[in-house]
Amino acid sequence: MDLVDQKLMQKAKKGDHSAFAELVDKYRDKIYAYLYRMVGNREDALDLAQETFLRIYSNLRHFKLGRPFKPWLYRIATNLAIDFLRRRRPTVALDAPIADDESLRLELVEQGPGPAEQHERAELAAYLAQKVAELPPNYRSVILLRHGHDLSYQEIADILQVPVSTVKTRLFRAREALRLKLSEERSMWEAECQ
Amino acid sequence: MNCCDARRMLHQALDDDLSLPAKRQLENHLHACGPCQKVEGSLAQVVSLLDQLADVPAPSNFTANLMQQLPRKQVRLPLLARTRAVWAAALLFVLILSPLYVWLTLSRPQLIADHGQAIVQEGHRFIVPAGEVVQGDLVIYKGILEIQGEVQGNIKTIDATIELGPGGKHTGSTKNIDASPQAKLAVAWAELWGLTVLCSEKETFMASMVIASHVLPFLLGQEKRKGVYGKHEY
Repeated sequence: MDLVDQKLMQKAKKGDHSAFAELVDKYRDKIYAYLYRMVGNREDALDLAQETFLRIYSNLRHFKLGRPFKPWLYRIATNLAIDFLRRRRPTVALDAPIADDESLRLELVEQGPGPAEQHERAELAAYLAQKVAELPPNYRSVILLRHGHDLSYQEIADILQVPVSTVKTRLFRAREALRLKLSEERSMWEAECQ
Repeated sequence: MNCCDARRMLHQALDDDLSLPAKRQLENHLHACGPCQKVEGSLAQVVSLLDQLADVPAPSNFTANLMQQLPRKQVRLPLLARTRAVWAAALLFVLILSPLYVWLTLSRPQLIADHGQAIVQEGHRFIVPAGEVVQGDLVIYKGILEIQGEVQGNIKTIDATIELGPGGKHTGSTKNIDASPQAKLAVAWAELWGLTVLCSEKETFMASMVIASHVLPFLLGQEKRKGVYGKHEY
C-alpha cells in the first residue's frame, strides 16, 4: 500500500486540484509508456493516457480510501487500451509482422556510430519492442505490467480480472516466446557481424 | 528435475515465486546443465530489455494540459439545482399567493382575539353573547362588535363600530385606529399567524418582525398555520 498515494487521493477526493496534479505527475510517464507499448503509436497513447486520468478524476468519489490506487489506475488504462485496439483493428492477423526487418535495420544503421555494445543493445531493444507489439493484447498487457511497472501477480490478476494462475501462464508463455525470438535474432546479428 | 521443469522454474524465480528449497534445486540443476544456464542468461536479458520498454516519458506539458481539461465543477450540481428549484417555486408561490391572500383577508371583517373566547360571528357582526365574559384585548376590523355579555380588555377598532347591548358591559378602553395600509397589513398578518395584539405603529413594526421570523419556516413547509380568526365561529 502506497501511503503517499492514499494521502494524495484523500486530498483529491476533497477537491484539491494540486494533489490530483501530483498524482498525475507521479504516474504519467509509466501510464504513457504502458499505453504506448499497448497501442503502438504516440498520439493514440497520449489520448488514452489523458482519458485514463480524466476517468480517474471523474470517478474520484467512487474510490474507497484504503484500497490501492495503482492497480485501479492500470485497470482503467488497460480497459481503455483493449477497447481502443478492438475498435481500431477488429480483424488483424496477430502473426503478421508489423514492420519488416529490413526497414528496421536500415533505420538503426542511420542512427550513427556508437559503441558496438550499445548499438547492439539498442537494436535488440527495438527488436524486442516489435516482438512485444506482435503479441496478442492480453499477453502483451501481462508482460508489460509485470516488467517496468512493478506490479505483482495478484495486482495484475486484479487489473485484468483473471485468475492468478492465468497471469502466471501468460507470463511464462509470453516471456518464453520473446526469449526464443531474441536468441534467434541475436545469433543472426552475431553471424552477420562476425 | 528435468530441463522443462527448470525452465518453468526460471520464470517463477524471476517473479520471486519459488520456495527456498525449490530455488536451491534449481541452482543445483543450473550448475550442472549448460543449455539451461544459457536459457537463464537470455531470459535475464529479455527481462532487462522489457524493463527498458517502460522508459518512454510523457510530453512535459502532459499534466498542465490535463488539468485544463478537468470539468470545472465537481458533481454536486444536481443537488444545487434541486435547491434552486425549490426556492424558485417558493418565491413564485409567495409572489402570487400573498397579495391574493391579503386582499381576500382585508375584504372581510376580522376579529382578532385570544384563543377560546366565546364570540359568535354572524355575517359581519361579532357577538359576545349575554352571560359570556371575554378576557384580553380585542381588535375588530370592518365589522360590528355587539356586546351583550361582558368584555374586560381594551378594544381597538379599524373601520368598525361597537354596539353595546342592553345587558352589555365593557370595562376596558376603546380606541379607533385609522385604516392605514400598515394597520391593514397588520390585520392580514395577524389573521395569518393568529396574532392577538395589534395596532399602534410600534406594534405594527413588531408584527412585521414576527412575520419575518415566520416566513422562512413557512416557505420550507415546516410551519403549520396557527389559529385563524374571523372566518369561523369562535
